[in-house]
This record gives sequence, C-alpha cells and structure tokens, in this order.
Amino acid sequence: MVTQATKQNTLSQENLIKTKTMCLALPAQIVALDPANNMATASVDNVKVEVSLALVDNVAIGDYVLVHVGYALNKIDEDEALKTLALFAEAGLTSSV
Amino acid sequence: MKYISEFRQQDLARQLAKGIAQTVDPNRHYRLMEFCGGHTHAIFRYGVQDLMPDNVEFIHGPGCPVCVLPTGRIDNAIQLAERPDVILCTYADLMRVPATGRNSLLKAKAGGSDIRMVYSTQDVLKIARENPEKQVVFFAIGFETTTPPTAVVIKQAQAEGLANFSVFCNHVLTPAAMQAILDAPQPVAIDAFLGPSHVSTVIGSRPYEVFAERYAKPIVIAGFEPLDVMQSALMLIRQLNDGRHEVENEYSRAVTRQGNQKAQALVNEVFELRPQFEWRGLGLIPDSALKIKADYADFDAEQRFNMPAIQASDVKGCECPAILRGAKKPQDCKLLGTVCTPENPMGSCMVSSEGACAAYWSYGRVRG
Repeated sequence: MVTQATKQNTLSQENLIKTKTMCLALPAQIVALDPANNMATASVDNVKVEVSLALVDNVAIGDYVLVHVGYALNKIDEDEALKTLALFAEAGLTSSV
Repeated sequence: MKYISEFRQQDLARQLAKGIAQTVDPNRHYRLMEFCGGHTHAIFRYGVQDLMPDNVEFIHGPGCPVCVLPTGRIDNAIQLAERPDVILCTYADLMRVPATGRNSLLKAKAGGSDIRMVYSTQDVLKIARENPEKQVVFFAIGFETTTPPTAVVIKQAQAEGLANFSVFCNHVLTPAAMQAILDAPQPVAIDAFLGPSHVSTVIGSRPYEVFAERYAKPIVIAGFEPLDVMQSALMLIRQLNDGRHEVENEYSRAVTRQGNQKAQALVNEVFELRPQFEWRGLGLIPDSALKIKADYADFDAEQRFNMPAIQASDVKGCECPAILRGAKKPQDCKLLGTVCTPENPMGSCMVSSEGACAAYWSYGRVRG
C-alpha cells in the first residue's frame, strides 16, 4: 500500500516537473554533475531530472537551482530565502503592535 | 521539499493575512495586477484571494505565453507540421490551443502530422540528430525565461552543423507588454504590479525601474509560492499607502537587480528585436518580440520555409483578448464553463494551466 502510494506520488511529481512547467520553475538540488556534457542530475523530493548547466556558472553538488524546461536558471540564495521567511513571520506581528 | 514547503506554511499565511488586513486603508481600493500566469495560478490554487480584504483586488495580466500567442502563429505551425518532410517539436502547453477552423496541433497530430511534445530544447536536438532525413522544427514560444534555452540549442546546432534543425521563433518580452498595458488607449485601472518571478531571474529587477519612475506604479518582484504572493501584496499596499512607487524585490532568493547575465548574453548573441509583433488581446506591440539574428539565419524556420504572415480571428464570443488586458475577468465570459472547458477550450486562456480561465475553472471560481 505504502509503496504504491509512494510510487504514485513520485509519478505525479515527475509529471509535475516534466509537463506542467513550461512557465514554471521548481527548486531542485544538484545531486550529480556531468561536466563533459555541461549537464547535472537534480532532485526534487527524490525525483531525479537531468538538467543543462548551460545558463549557470559554478554549480556544485548540494546547491539548489531553479529548474525550468530542463535548464538550471539560477542558483537559489539560502541567506536571502531565510531573510524572506523572517519577513513573513514579522508581517502579522509588527502590524499588530 | 526545500524552498517549496516553507513558502506554503498555513500559520504564516494567517499571520500575513492579519498583517495585510491591518495595513489596508478601508477607504481605498487596491488593484494589483499580477503580470504572470504563474501568479494567477498560485492565487487561485491556494485561495490567496480569499485571504485578502475585500478592497484588495488581483487583476490578471497577460503573462501566459500560450495565451498571448495569436491564432495565426498556431496556423503557421500547423501548416509547417503538415509538410511530410517536417517533424514539429513543441512544449506540451501548445498542443490544444485553438487554431483556425477548430483545428489544433493535437488534431493535426491525430491527422497524421509528426508533432512531438518535448520537455527540453535538448530533446529537439536529439530528435534532429536521430532523423537526418527530416526537417526538425522547434515551435519556440515563451517569455524571457524560456528564450535562453532556445538560444543555447541554436548555438549548439550551429556548432554541430545540424543542418536539418530550425526554430520557429515566437519569443516575447515582458517589459514591452507591461508598457503596452500602461499605454493602452483605454488603460485598465491598475495601482501596482506584482512582477514576474522567473522572468525576473533572467532579466533582473532593473528593467522595471522605468515603469516605477515614469508611470508612478509600485512594482514588487514576487516569488511563485502563496506566501511570496501575500508578502508582495503587503509590500505593494505599504508603498501605495506611503505614496511611494519603487521596484522592490520580494523574490531575492532567486532574483538580483542585474539578473542572469550569462543567459542575457546568449540571448543577445542569437536574437534581435522584431520591429513589431502581434499579441492576442494587446494587438501589435513595437519591439515586443525576438527574431533570430542574421548570423544564425540558417536556423530560422520562417526564412527556411518562407512562412506567410497569417491574420486569423478568435472564436466569436471568446473574451480572451479582454481578459489578457485585464479589462475583463473570466466570469465575464459567456463561454466559460458552458462551451469552453479545459477539455474543449475555445480560447487560449482555458488551455494553458497558467491561463486565467483555466485557473477559475480548476479552482471552482466558475459561476461562484
């Protein structure tokens, strides 16, 4: 049961990544590099996709990138992400003071 | 999922909603245009509109590339695909867009044309390498996010001498469309813009500065997750309350002022501005689209196949053009949910998952 559910979930994730994303991009973690072809393997929730690194520089294993139509568009800046999350938490608090 | 789930947390959404409710001036109406179809989708999928006070209205913009592509260009692509020597490759989103005479790429494929859906432009090169006896044409559409991957493969094809590969280029530009909306003869009332997420990762936040200055419109570059949209709306509301009109960047984890300069350089190397291009809903807009430069003309399908300019009209009664300008909402269209559904779309806004009509239909806003 669990395996089936997990499999379905994985398939739907893959479907999400591969068919719904012409305009969307998803954050994915680089798990393997193929420098000879300027490609990498990226993982979203354990679903692996092949991505081209033609549009980015200095990508390392462990980095998070935005994946769009099979290309890494940009690296995601962790410090900035944390700052934005902190802003959300402040919103309700500061205005209620 | 890192960088996804944290930006969808319900408790933070409630907190943000509270912050917004306390910040809005009850005596004014806030009309925020989300330019990008991805934002429209997020607003409906996560019920962001319902978390907003009644006087905060989202106006859906033209940022859905499938939606703004005029019917004539789909007709062009179908004509090309009907040639026995052609394999036409395209992103899945385009397959069901209505063409003239109730046709579509999907119907053309069913009728025997060799049309292939691809996930990445790299797939198109692979198909071209594997089918040297065929002409392999990539039907390229999209805003600035989708253009660099097309530039990459045109350069690759040139380097490989892949003579059977070409591109039918329909790439369009966000700032030009924003300007067209602001300069329209009967402009839609918009107080501020939620700026695109992923387009901005490529072009940066700088191209929007002219709109903040010249048109006095606040712009906040917003991430695609629901909390990003809410935070960005709050930032816009604060700017409007303070009488400021600046470009602010909520999506700083992926967007810088300069953008992705490597991607920009690739695009500039391969493409140049078209003098004008037709947009569904917005008409002819000067300098709003790209064509392939003379250095890469060998890969330009429009030249290779001498493709004609086709003027085509939309389905009668379809309100897509007005919806794309922000002048109407999907519920104003008589066809919505009656004859026009995702299974049987009459207009492009119902086809793409980013289209406003598809968002209304999918998330229960029809007749609601």
